[in-house]
Amino acid sequence: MLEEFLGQDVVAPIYNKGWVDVMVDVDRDTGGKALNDRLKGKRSGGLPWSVILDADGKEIVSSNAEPKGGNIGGPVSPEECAWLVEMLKRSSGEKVTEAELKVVATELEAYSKPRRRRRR
Amino acid sequence: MNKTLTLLPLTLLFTTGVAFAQEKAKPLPSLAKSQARALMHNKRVLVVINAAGEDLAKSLKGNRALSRKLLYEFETIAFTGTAVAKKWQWQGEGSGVVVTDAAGKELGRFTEAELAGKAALTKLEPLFCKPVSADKKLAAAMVEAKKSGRKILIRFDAPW
Repeated sequence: MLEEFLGQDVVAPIYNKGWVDVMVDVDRDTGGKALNDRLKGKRSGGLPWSVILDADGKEIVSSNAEPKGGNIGGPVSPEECAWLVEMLKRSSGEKVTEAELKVVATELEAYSKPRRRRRR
Repeated sequence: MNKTLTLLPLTLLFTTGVAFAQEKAKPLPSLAKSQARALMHNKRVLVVINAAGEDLAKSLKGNRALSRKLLYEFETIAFTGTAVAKKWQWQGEGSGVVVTDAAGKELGRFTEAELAGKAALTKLEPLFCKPVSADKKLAAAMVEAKKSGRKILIRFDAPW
């Protein structure tokens, strides 16, 4: 779900400006589960789980939403979507503008809304 | 003026030729998506060519020996129709599959009969992608992030 969203025509150019995308398959990639365990530590939540690192591998923010710490997974609810935008905001640096983040937030809302209805 | 008129047919021929070549090289939209996903997930693309009224992809998913591996190792895309069969140069009369890498290079092709029962896994297993190291992926991303001044977003997931 997150992969599909980040790959959308409007979102992908903004996303690729600010972040290097890495997908780790915990079942098939060698050492995938170990890397997941190492980066996630004792935090709650299953898969999908995501984390944003700086270029030295230091964590900036994870998909465990503050303050409660629940994993947003593939974000659908308004709270989950808001946390994904917050993750991007905290790590965007100078590469991505405030206006571009707003575009991502608007696109995420449009993408997630129909899925929310389906879940209910 | 005369010179322009003389060159016009040549120009048209050239531009039409280029346009045709570009159109021919452009993959089908859904196939391009499957290839992009295959590249991202280190998988192969399984192009299913269905004969009229058949659903080979469904049959393969129902094959106990293969179903899990199919999900893990392939991006499956199914087509029906003679135009598609022609595009893939599918000579067989019934349904079949063409296995390609993420760049569209053909790695193998099998008829429905060849993929019956346990034979399906025997035929397809040698074509699976080799596993990649998660640590190497991260190391490569760190190099790329340093070079481009970007951050790294790692998504952990599984095929199930």
